[in-house]
Amino acid sequence: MSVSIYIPSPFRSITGSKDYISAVGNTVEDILESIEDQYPGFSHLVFDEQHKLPGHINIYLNNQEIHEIEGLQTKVRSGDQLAIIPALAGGTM
Amino acid sequence: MAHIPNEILQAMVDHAMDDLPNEACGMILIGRSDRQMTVHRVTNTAASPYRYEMSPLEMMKLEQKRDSENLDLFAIYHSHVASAAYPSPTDVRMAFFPPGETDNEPMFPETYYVLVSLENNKPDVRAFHIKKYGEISEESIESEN
Ligand SMILES: [Zn+2]
Repeated sequence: MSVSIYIPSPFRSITGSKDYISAVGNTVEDILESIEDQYPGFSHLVFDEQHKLPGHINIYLNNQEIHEIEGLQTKVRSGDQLAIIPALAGGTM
Repeated sequence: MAHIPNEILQAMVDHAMDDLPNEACGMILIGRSDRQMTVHRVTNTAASPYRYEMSPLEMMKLEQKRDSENLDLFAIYHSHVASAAYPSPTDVRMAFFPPGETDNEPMFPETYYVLVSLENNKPDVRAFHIKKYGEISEESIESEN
């Protein structure tokens, strides 16, 4: 399954400034791992040391947050759109 | 120096007031050639007086708009409802990826962080760059009509 992935501007240093890339796999996790094969270092951006998605990384499959579906195990279909979005946040303290 | 038209300053203050008691947040995009600015309100999914989290989906749509319409991210703004218009330690931490890794380049080194404070009767708007090692540099705002 070939999926299109939207890369946010702070991550484009790793994709050679590309805003969209494509990758193949059956699940969201497969796709993320196949991006690492194409762009080494990518995993470090999206996974923590336990290979989990930290709270400051949001992943959307066709505009739906993956934790609302089946998380990393969510199945993907050809033509799906995946987007990776780092949190933009702050606080008073 | 940050050149920001009065109407854009006012639009951010209006947004901050509309979202009371919570913090408001959003982005200002600017045309690469015509330098026209537009204010885009973004939902604060934290809906809190002490925190903001920009809706990731709305952010992505703005970023795609920026890519397709040849715009730059001029500023990221948010309000402080009861403290000064100055970036908090959390604001600085979250300017880096991963959060707090201030040895990295900040996520948006060229973008102004604009703070709107409603702590006093008269709203205060200030602009900053957040730099490597978490250095905060204030940029004076030059408003024009
Ligand atoms: Zn803040």
